Amino acid sequence: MPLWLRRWFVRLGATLSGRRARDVREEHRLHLDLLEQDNLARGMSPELARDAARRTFGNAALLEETSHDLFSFRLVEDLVQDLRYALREVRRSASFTCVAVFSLAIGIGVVTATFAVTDAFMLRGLPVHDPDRLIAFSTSTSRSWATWSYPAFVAWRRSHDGLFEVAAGSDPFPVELPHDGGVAREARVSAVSDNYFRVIGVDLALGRSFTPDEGRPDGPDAVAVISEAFWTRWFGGLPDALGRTIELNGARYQIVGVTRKGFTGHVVGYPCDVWVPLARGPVLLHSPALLSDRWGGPRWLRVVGRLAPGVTLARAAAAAEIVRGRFTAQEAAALGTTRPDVVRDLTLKLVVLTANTGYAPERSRYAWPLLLLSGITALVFLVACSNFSSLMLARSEVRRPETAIRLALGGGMWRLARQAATECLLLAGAAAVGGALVARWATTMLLKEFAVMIVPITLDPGWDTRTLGFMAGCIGVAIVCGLWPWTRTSRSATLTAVCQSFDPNSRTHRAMAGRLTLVLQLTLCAILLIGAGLLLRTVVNLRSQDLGFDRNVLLVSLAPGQAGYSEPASAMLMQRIRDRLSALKGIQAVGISGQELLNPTNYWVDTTQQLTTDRGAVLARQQWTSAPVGPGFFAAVGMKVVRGRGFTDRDIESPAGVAVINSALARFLFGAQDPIGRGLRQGRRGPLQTVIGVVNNARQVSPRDRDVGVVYLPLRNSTRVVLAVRTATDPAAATSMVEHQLGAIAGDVPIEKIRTIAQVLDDGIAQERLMSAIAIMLGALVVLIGCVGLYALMAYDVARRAREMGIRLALGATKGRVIALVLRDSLLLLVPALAAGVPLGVASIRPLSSQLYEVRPFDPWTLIGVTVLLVGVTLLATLRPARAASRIDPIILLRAE
Amino acid sequence: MGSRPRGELLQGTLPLLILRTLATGPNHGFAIARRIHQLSRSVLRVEQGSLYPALHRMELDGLVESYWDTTENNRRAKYYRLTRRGARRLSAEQDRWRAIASAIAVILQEG
Repeated sequence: MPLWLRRWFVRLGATLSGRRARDVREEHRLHLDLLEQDNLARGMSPELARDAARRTFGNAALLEETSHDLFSFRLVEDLVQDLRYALREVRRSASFTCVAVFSLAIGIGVVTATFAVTDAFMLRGLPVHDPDRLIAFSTSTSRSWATWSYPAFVAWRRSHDGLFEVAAGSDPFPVELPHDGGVAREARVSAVSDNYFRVIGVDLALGRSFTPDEGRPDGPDAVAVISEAFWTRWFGGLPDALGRTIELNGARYQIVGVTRKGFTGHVVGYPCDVWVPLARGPVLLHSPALLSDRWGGPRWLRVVGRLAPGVTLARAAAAAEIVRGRFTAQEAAALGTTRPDVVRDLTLKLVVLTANTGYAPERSRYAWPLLLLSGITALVFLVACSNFSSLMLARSEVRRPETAIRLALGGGMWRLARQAATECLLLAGAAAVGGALVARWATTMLLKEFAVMIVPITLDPGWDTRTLGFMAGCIGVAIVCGLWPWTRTSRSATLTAVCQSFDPNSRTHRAMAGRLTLVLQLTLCAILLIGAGLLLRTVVNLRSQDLGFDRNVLLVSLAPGQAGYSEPASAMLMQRIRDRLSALKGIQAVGISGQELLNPTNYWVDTTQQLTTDRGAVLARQQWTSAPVGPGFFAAVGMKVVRGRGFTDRDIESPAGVAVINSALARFLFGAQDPIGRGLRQGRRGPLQTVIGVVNNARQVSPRDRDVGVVYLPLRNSTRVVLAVRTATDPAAATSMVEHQLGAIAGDVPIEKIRTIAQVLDDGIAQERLMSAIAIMLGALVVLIGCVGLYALMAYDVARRAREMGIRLALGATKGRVIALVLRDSLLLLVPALAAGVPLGVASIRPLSSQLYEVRPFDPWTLIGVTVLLVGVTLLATLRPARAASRIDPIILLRAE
Repeated sequence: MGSRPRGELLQGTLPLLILRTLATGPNHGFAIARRIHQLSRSVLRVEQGSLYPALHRMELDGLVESYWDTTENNRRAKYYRLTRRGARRLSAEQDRWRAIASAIAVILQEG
């Protein structure tokens, strides 16, 4: 047994038995007694003998202490003592501590949660080998990965010159699995080329990947590879899953492999459960045309490549572009001018992207909110840290005389530092535990909110080393923030400090540090509130703006085509629905639109196709869009026909092309001339359409669109329509009535959606609402934290200046004047905070100004609102300390001294 | 007793002396001190302030072990006895001490 271990055991035994101290004392007593006996034997008197023995023996207490140290864990005992001391301090100012720890926990929690989500969705590489060598194929018009036809993939795969190897995979699509105990479940299936797993660089935990044979359309057996998550969920993680089968769309697939844990396909946020060979994709998707032999055929595959070692992205891109050019040139030439759209697609230049973070179609939509959230949560965290810092500062200030006395009495600096550190670590530790809980909760909530507000994504942000490391870093920052006040105090804690602390008029520079942190906090509050205020105004503006049509109109999405109606049958059905509904009491007008209103996912403003008038005026690079509408649409949604007339039933039936345009388009195309009777065509060769009317500008596709030209065309295809129903009563109340009536008229056509325009608008501006909600929530949090800091500082200040206040009161100052004095002090903190916060807030929102709507970053109303709010909460937070100051009794104060 | 000139112990020699004393049989602290005093013909005096810490450290290191027993005067006392590890240490230390002492003696004669 090594010596140190032996010592450790002996110490442990001694500590546990607790007999050691008694033994030592007895041993010493025996020694003393024997000395005394010796002395007596030498003929000393009893008293003299005892005294002499004591003198010889020396300091017994010190001796005991030395032995005690030997047989105990000194460090541990000290630590326990420090901890007990820290706990006592914490208990002494429980509410204050609670708030500091609470705010720190929230700060750490929200910032970690934001990091976890951002990391999982935006930053983290795919869980594969060497993700930096992955490339994805895109076109010049799409920012992210593009889809490609099967022949495009095959062409690249065959002629890559050894620079890279490509694999292809469809995006996961849902396939219903057979019922299991009455519960229907679905799996997300992706059809992938046989080399997919190798190229992406993911190992299989079990089994094997596909063979080239299995990839052929007439391949031997239907096989599948499943994800680890699906394996656990569906097969309970049992190894005998290999060789078993799952049923997809009625066909059985034998499971041959299980991927490594964590891999969920190339699409981030939309995990894939089952991979099947590429040729099975068309079967599962019920469209055999997917395996066409034309480059310009259906695009349904993402093409991923892996660069060979030493090959640059540019070289690979050049090689791939040559292949694309060769194949598409032939095809484009063959098509000639018959299919301009296909040719246009074919001639799009290839762009090769790095693909290390996978494909996340929603990434760009999340980027904004996440960036904003990161900024705000970082601010919240900073405020919490500064609050923690000022708490520790106040503590060390209060303890300054004590520290000085301890130092004067020979207390070790090291020991004092350790005590301060113990307290700081205790609080930070509590905050860390709370922070982890908050982070857990906030992560789930964040993902849920994002899913509701933007688009559902499935992520497992998890608690990987990156997130934990980030959180540890945050805690480290908090600890540093908590410790630095102590380093300040200890440096100056000499005997002079003792004298100074008894000086009644000490308004030392040390109190300035607390003020400075508070000013910083209030500045952050101002910045955050300005951001929140501007976002709130954006939402209010978007909500309350003049859309160009009424909000209280019910929009009912119907898809008779899905229910098996042909085009003519759909048109007749729509006619019947319109007639029947219009006849009802309480329904004022019914119209039909061929596309949803205000749906940003429909957002499509064409800037490439030209709009030409009959006299050749060209509207190029101007925003315009077209919308098919049926008769009665304008009246139903409350749009006004400014000139001419709207569509009638005859317009729909007649072959002559007619169009209604909005005032914006009329101005662009015809200026001051009368547009009625003029002609326009879409593209150079499109059919000429006669303008029969002009309607007011309305937000057709996005609530943010202003002055976008719209060409309204007669609705020809009614297989998927939106019914606009204007009711006399509250539309929300009329919903069930309309549903009932539709059920009676066409029960076989399911109602996909039924909402008022106001609700549609709210959904359309979900991202803005989410961002403002987050900003307001966190802004409120920061203000609350700031308030507590302010309250604490002022309370501390008043306590410190009790004597001054007492003298003032004794000399005849009224209570009101003392209150005013304290209030003025706290308001003086707000002045520099606002002076710094307003320009900073305006400057920091400036990059976001594209997200704002009809409000400029320098918005006087927002600034006034923020100022009033901050003044209000400052006064509120100071009121109690101020009243306490006014209640100081000079007599009691005098006695206390 | 106090009239005699005080013999200062050389640094690090106390454990060696204690081990040597205990080699003749177990004893308690006071007796060990007295025995060192007697054996050195009243030259060396062991201070209590260093005796007990030294004993306890040796106990911690396993060179000696302790047990409670009664003295000839029927008093409870803590007795120390040599462990096997202690005996080994004693012979090693004795050799080392003799080597050093003879080396120093040679130097002193040369001087």
